[in-house]
Amino acid sequence: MSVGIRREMTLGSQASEVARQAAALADLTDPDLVALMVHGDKRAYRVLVERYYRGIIGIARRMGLNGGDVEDAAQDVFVRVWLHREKWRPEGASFKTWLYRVAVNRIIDLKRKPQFVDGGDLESIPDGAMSPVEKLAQHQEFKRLRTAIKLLSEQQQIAINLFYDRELSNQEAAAIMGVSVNAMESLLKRARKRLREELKAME
Amino acid sequence: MKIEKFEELLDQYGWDVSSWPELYRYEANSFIALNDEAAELLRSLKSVEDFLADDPLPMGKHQAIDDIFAAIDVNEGRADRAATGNADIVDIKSDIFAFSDDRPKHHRVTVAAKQSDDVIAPRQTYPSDQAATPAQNAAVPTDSAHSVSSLTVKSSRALLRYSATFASAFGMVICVMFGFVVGVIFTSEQEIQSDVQATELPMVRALENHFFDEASQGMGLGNNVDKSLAGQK
Repeated sequence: MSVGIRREMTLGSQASEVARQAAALADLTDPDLVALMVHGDKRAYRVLVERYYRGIIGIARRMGLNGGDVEDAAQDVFVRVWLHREKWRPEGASFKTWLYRVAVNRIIDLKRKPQFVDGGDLESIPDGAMSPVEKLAQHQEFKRLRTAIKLLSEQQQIAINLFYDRELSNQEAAAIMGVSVNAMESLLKRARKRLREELKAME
Repeated sequence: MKIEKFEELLDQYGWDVSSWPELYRYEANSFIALNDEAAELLRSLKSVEDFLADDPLPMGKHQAIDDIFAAIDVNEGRADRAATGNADIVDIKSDIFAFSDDRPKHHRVTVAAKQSDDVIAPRQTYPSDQAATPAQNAAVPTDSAHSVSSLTVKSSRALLRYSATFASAFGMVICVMFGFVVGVIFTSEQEIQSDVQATELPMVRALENHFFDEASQGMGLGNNVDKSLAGQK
């Protein structure tokens, strides 16, 4: 057997081993992965990042960050969580709640910075299946919605953004905001009413 | 159902009528089918919900996650360098321009103090022991030796002081005693002389009278005492 074939077989077996380990990690629950993460296992943390990256991107975008800032905020959140992983307490909130809370606080910080440029007027959602007229109409509709949402209070904006995140339950959204479910529903009711009134006023 | 009640239910239960409680869901669906304003309101709010729930990924997910871990590596490397920059002795020694903090919190000095066999811990002063001055190289008495010599000097000085005091007191006593003795002797001499004069003077006078009488008789003069007395009478 030649050396080249033997090397390729070795590399192939190593790759399959890595893939098998990655698949095993992907099957683990959040608490198991977080336990590994706290001990410095980056592969376990990568699984967690893959699991929640989309959600963090979504909450950052809905809270008014534009394209570049959305990715920067998400990266900053995940780097911070890794660097402060020793602060994680299993008896506290779930990792998902903790991560979203870090994200919301970080996004608020970014939005409060003087150099922050609101992405509401800049970003449009790309959709290749739409005609230019439809894209323009959708862009105008999104612009109107963003303007209406910006008129809400900060708490109302966070509440409505978390509530309409498909990956969060009501309990999780309330836990991220640090309020009870009843308080969260009350906050949502006021936010919906205000948003509905603002949209009606814009027509 | 009126439009105000429908709006209140929208605010209460959200813009997805299918998730409402069954009691209101059936009534709301009937109202939407009959009321254009309610249908338009629901359509408008549903677009808001779609907008909020939409979460497109503007770039490749895996590329973004790779960027996150690259940023983690950069931050960890920076943190490691910062940590080793304060505590690594080899780095400090290899760099001749490195500043060595010699304060007690410094790791190397703390370790040295812990490992030292000396009873007296080295003093943490500026400049550091790396830049030893000639005075530091000179034979300097230790604190214990210094304390002994100091005690010796202190005791000798005290002894001198006590000796001087004692000598002066003793001298004073001697002087007093000497004066007393001299005084006593002088007084005794005076008394003896007085006694001698008191006892010898009549005898001397008697002898002088006797000799004078003897001399007077030898010259035929008689007794001068009697004559003088007779002449006075």
